[in-house]
Amino acid sequence: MLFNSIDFAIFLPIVFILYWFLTNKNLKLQNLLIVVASYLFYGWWDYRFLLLILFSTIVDYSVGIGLLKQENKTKRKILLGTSILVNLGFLGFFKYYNFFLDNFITAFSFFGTEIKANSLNIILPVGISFYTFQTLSYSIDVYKRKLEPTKDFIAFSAFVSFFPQLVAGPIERARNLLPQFYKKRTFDYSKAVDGMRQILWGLFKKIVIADNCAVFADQIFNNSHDYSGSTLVLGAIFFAFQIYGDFSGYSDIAIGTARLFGFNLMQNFAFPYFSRDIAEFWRRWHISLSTWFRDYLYIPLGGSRGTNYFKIRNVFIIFLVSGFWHGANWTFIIWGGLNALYFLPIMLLNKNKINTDVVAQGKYLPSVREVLSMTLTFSLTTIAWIFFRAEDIHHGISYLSDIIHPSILTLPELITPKLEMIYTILCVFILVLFEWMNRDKIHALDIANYNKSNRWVLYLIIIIMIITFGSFNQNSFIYFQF
Amino acid sequence: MHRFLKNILIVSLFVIALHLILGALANGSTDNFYLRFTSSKQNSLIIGTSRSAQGIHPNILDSVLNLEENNGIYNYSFSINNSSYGKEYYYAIKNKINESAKNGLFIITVDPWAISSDTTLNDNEIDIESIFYSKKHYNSYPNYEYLIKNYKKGWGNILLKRIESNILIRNQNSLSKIKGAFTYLRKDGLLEVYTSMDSTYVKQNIQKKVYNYNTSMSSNKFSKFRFLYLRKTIQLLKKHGEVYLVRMPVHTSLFKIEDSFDPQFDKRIMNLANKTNVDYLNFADNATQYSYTDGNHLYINDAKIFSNQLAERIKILID
Repeated sequence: MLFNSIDFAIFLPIVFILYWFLTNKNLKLQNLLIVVASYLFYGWWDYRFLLLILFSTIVDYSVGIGLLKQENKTKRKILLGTSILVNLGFLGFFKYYNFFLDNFITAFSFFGTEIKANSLNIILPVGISFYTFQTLSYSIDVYKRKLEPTKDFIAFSAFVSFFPQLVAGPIERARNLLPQFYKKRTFDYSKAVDGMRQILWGLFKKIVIADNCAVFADQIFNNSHDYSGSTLVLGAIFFAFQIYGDFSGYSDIAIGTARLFGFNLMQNFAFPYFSRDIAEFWRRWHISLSTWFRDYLYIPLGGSRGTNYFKIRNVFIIFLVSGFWHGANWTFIIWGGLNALYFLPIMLLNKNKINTDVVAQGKYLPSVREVLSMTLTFSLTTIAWIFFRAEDIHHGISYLSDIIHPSILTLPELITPKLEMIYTILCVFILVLFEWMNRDKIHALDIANYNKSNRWVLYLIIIIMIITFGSFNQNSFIYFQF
Repeated sequence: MHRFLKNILIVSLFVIALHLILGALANGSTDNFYLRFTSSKQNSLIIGTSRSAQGIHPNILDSVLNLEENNGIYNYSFSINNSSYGKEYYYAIKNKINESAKNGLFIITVDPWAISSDTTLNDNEIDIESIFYSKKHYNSYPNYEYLIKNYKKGWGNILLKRIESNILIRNQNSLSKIKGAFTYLRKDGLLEVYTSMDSTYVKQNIQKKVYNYNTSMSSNKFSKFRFLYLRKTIQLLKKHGEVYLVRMPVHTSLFKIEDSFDPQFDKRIMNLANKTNVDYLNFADNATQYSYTDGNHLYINDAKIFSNQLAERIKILID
């Protein structure tokens, strides 16, 4: 079920009513309702993959119980290994099997050996990269004794399958989300209203920004040889806003929906395009994944301690793995590699933690220096996005080389439908303006401190913009494929 | 909780009311098909794909053939993906005809593509993406069913399009400068296409069409199923009046492609016309007389000339 669908618009109020009016007296029943609703939400795509979630839930629950009873180090390691093997095994099979097979065949044919192997027609279960990482965090934390394993199977199932964030995150840590299933939730008016505001803003980002930018990004990327350098630059910028609107829009709807049910999910985006360097960008973009890799990969590898060799190695590992996490394609690995290259100099110069505050805090406008550094960071990020969006490496390289052409100095062409293109650019400006005004908040529509009439005027403006400029094709979210 | 629910209810009611109002504002600027799902049942129809949707002016036929007395003729042509002959279009036509009509005039335009289908699809699969698929309302105004199922933009866009089309129609002479096009669906079903006729722009559009048609050649084949429904459509319309099969002119480069796609086409249609006892009017040979926006569609002024010639030919046959 998509957040931007009629199905969800019917599903959400029904679950909300049942949750607060029918099951509110019994915590177990309320958690059970979440499990049932979550399975229905997921099964709407493909009910067969529910078995995968159920299996993953049973394995990690059992591993948790096993770790609770087991003191023997070797046996504890075996239990953790089982969880890692099952979760990464699913991920490896469904997501990476064909990739490794194809590359294996290519590598052997390079040395003159022809191998015949049939690739499998594997359907990627929606959200598998998200929920496997979430359950892995549980097993690892229990193994490291940072978290008490749960004996409540229903609560654990609800934690694994919690529908607002099941298919595209935020990837929650068990330490944050699981305890919320043990406590009785009470309806909080201001929390629910803020949830609705975040949902509204998420819908604006998805339906108005992402889906409209997608029309032009697709057209330019799919016919990149036909366009001037400046139009290709515009195409890359459209994609930068498409992916931001799409993914952060999803996160906003997920976090807002969770708030309606009394849950607090972690912030996943913190206005990343206002970052002044690439390190700041990665502290603000897909925070739940970046911190997951930091906690469960980068720090165990030694982090930024040790010699320069280890520092460089660790940075490359974390970014390349992050790229590969996104998909079984070399384009994602190049994207990760480019980000590693951007990150390295500032880390080696020990300048990766200089921009930890909000840019131009307390001011209306940024300084010239801040504008330049934000522009540079956005440009570098957008160059990397070209590979993220490209069909293959060859396409990414040819797109970049077509940009570096005298036609980059001409005005970009207007793409048909031309008026829609102008409206889309205007909407992007409104997004940037609005996010700039509220960049010190948790989300751009965190306007509880505004007076009532101003708040309602803003709601009205956003609703009218969604109704006027929104695309209601029920386009899927980009990150569902990951 | 009650305060929260009350506020949600107010916002929801506001959004619903807004949509009801916006839906009622939908008109010919909304999209290329909407108005045809809102018009009342008709006595006379022009049937076919986008060639006739843009190329046959009902008002010209009305005036030459005195059809106003019989409520005029209505252009019920759509596009190749929606109104190729088949089950869905057949039932849409059936729903559009006034059951009591006996003296109607029906122009059925034909070309090889309208009786062909994708080589990979079965007969029961070919029209599942047609605009008529699973529709219940063909003649209601406003047609909320159509807007809910087919209008993929926010309904506020309906109002925006109305404003835009007023401005664009007033400034249509500027189209050559921006090399663009826009459409407006008239109340009589004619789709007006305002486009730049800059020679380079038109040449590019023809090249694109030639490329598309060459691609279609390899992925399509003559469809017995569609041909059967063409025959059924003729038989249905004959119960309500006079029927004429018409092949419209297209640019010579496109004519060559469709001729090599289905060399037997004219013979096939002639046989069908004889068997069903209707006239076949073939204008394909007159192709060079007209100018086209993209090779496939007549330019709006040439469409008027063609409509007049068609009406005169029919007048001779009637007399």
